[in-house]
Amino acid sequence: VEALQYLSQGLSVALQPINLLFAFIGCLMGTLVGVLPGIGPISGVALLIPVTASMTSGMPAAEAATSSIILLAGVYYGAMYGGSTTAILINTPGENSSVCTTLDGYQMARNGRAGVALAICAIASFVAGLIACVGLIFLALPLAELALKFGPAAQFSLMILGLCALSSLAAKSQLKAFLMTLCGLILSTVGVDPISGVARMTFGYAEMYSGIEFLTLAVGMFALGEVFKTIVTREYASGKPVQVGSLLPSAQDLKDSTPAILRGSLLGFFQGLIPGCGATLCSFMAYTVEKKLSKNGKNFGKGAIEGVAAPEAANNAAAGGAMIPLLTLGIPGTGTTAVLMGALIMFNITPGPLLFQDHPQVAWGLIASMLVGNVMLLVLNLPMVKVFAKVIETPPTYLIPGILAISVFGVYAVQVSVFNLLLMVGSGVAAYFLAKNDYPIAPLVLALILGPMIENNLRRGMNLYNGDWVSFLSDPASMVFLTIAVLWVGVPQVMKLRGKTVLVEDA
Amino acid sequence: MKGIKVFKQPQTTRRAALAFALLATAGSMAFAQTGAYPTKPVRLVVPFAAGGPNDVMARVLAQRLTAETGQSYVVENKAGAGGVIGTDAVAKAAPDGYTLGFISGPFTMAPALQAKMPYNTAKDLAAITKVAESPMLMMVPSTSPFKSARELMDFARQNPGRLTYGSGGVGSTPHLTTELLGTLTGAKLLHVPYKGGGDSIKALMAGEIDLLIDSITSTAGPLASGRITPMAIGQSKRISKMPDVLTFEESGIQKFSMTHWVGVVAPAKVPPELLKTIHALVTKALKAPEVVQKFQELGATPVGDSSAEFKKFINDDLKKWQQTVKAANIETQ
Repeated sequence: VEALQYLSQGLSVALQPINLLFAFIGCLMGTLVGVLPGIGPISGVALLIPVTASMTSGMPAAEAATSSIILLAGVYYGAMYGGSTTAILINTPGENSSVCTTLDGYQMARNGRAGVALAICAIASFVAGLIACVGLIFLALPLAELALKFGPAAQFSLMILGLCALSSLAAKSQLKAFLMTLCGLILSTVGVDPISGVARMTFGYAEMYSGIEFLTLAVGMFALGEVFKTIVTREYASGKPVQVGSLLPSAQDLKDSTPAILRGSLLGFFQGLIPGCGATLCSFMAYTVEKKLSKNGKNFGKGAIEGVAAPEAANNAAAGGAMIPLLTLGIPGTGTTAVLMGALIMFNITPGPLLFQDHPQVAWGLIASMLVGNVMLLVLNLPMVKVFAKVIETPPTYLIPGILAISVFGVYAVQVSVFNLLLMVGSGVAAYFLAKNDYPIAPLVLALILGPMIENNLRRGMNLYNGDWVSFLSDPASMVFLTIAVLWVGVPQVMKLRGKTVLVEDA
Repeated sequence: MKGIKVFKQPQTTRRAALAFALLATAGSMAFAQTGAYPTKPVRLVVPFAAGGPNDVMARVLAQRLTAETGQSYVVENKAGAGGVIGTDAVAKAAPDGYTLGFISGPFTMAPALQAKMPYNTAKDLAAITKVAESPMLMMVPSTSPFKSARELMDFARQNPGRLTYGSGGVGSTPHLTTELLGTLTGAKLLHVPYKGGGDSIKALMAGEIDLLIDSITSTAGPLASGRITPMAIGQSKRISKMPDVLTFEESGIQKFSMTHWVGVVAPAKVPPELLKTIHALVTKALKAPEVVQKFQELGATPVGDSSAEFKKFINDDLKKWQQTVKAANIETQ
């Protein structure tokens, strides 16, 4: 009850006209940031810190801080949403976390359901944001305890589970998916080894020291791969561009996606708690879990609405979950929350256990702004769906140069290196040939993210436990994840032996 | 180390020359014509990820410089390879004063750790001024059995490799600082690198690691949680914020005075006149009350010394870390 009282105070702050305006600007800027691949929420928020500082320069300190944080948080959510727009419309993940959205979102667009996909994204993000807020308000303290319990062993096992889940992304052949996962893991070892500091497979190029940039590869493989395919197969010559069907989801669509949204939100929220887990992994885990649990599982990859709803809900809820370690312990859980923390410090506010005590206006204003921001996104984006969906009706002769321009601009703007442009084009070409021969791309791209997390946590754990691997099994959280991993891989195999049909089928 | 440097060098000079030819003319002409600086936005490259205390200090400084000069100072985070990638971008930028680097400890540590440096730290970058200093703080989990830094280090000496310490990564300030402490006291501690300072503090809170030595600027929130006990402070006097925390000397550990520092550098070829102008602008900004106040809030003290003093400091530090890395037997890349 006390929390509700504070929340209503927070809401009264967040609903002041000036703060509504700030939330609006934030969401709008965030959506733009999200649409451009390469510029992610981290750089988007960082870029806007000086802007908010000058916008709020005349205001009293506490109010300036609140308004700025409301704007910056809006950028955060906006970027999460904007990233899925391009993922759905042109198969270009605008953010890391929207890689999973391309899988079914783009297929939905090709089936003429772009509007529905965009709308369900907005709705899923909104619901997930609400759930995360409720979790944040009522469970922040006990969950902070939980977040601390995830040591290297548990994180390692969670990543192993993630790796097992990759198998369910297999398109036609388990073997091919496995090979692609392996390729991704190998690519992930490029760069300076974070534990010993030795440079690996860099061939003397300074550009490779920081490893292969995930988004460069993802944009190249998803967006350019698709572009090359369209050009080579001369799909554009056939003349008729895809038509946009209904813009709003039907009652059946909503009914189908409700469980997906709920499950995705819960999963995302709890995973967001675990530092270093990241929204990308959350969205992808939600996708694979949904594929297993949904009645519609076999349509995943062919434009299933659940395949859009679940990851979108998860990455938004994860953003809320990641706020818990920041607000209760003063530790940022994700890159973006680290930047938000920096912004707070610039306003002389130290995030941490004393935040609620010392600056309740800021703390509750921030939480309330999450609610307001999510409503704002919904209001902002539902009418925009119509506009965005028109993109899909653009004739490919104009659309293709547009996609190329966005990809090249996005990657170059952030990396400022020709090397990364070449890497992007190269991976686009590779993706074309891989897709042509039924090698799925998603496992490779996701293994690139999982690889370093697995390796670092394993080696960190080995250091901590003095080389005793049994500790990985004795940690309770770790044990739970490993058990699920074994079941994940094992159960379908057993069922197959018994002659039952399973969702993950080999062709 | 030397052999590979020779291999890298031609590329460096060629690229620098190209960049110089393309941009320097325009930049220095503008300077010569009007004598005014800055006449366009200035990039302040921060060679680590956004969000940490160093990044915050860079942003506070940039904000003040923007307010003073009327030109925007844009903070650009270029993280990777222990700060080498971002610093390299500064070393190779056009020497027109419109690209500056905001560096910290790893600037002088990297050459000792990395065999293949793409630039020469002492020669390719001009020191402008040290921006701020903050003491390093030794912390243990609140569940730790050790009551003092002395007790902990004695245990570490008698049980080599039993205690683990965290850091934000290989070549970070906490990493080399703790190695230096180990060398000074003859103790062997086991290094567990995390991804960034935040993760290492979380590990300390959870009791995964036995100790962490990090800049006081990154500890305010976590200390307030009560899960961390500050044990010793790396400067000659106790600080007013934590009057009960002993200095290392008071704890019986001599000659270990460790501060975390941040500073501004420019490409070495920036004309001396322009370097002076930049120095004047930065040191003036560091005296602004709001800057002083925000730095103090973080636990840092603004410095703003002369370029010559900062240069000497960098050269001494370069030597110190070469020796530490050698003594601690840390593998160079």
